[in-house]
Amino acid sequence: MLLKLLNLAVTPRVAVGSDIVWVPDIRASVEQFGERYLKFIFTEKEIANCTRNKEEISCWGLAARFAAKEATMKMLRPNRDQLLPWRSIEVVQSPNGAVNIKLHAPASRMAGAAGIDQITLSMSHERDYATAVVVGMGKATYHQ
Amino acid sequence: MEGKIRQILKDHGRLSIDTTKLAVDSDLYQAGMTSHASVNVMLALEGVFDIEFPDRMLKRSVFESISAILTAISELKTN
Repeated sequence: MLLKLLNLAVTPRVAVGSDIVWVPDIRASVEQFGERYLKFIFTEKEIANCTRNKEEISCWGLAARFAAKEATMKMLRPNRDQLLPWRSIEVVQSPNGAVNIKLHAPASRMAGAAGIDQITLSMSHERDYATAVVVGMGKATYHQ
Repeated sequence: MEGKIRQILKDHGRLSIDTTKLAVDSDLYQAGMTSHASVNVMLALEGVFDIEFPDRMLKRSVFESISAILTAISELKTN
């Protein structure tokens, strides 16, 4: 009501990103580059969440997490000269299996600058493909 | 050095263009290199040239063209 009186409109800050990954690409990278690839892209917790029986890496899980990171990057839209390390975007998993995005510096600073303070993630995989969608929301801006 | 870079792009870059025909300042991302492919290119460059890209160089612009990659490797080889 007050906003109407002041003739102001409210625009919530919303940004979205999505990505799809071909699982064999991830498998090939793990096989060719091994630990260097894994540690460059994924945090220790992400690798642990994708490891079965203490040894076997789930490439579907890695692919979904890569898609989530790339979707987050698309949501944040860094320019070509901005540093955005893959590990600064982390897929965290709760005991019930739910996943979400946790940002570390510099990704967290980038989100703050973009006015994004809430992020929601959805991941999926089927056969040779994994996909993720990320929605970022922030404080509303007021304008006439 | 340029020849090795072109070979790495052919092997790992997933480009839609013949790497031998790429101009040195052609945008590799527009030529089809995805973010994941750029990771593989970076890791392959480190292996072939025995270098390690420091964090400050892990930006899209460093890998956006053959000339940009050449500049980065030359800098790392010099230091």
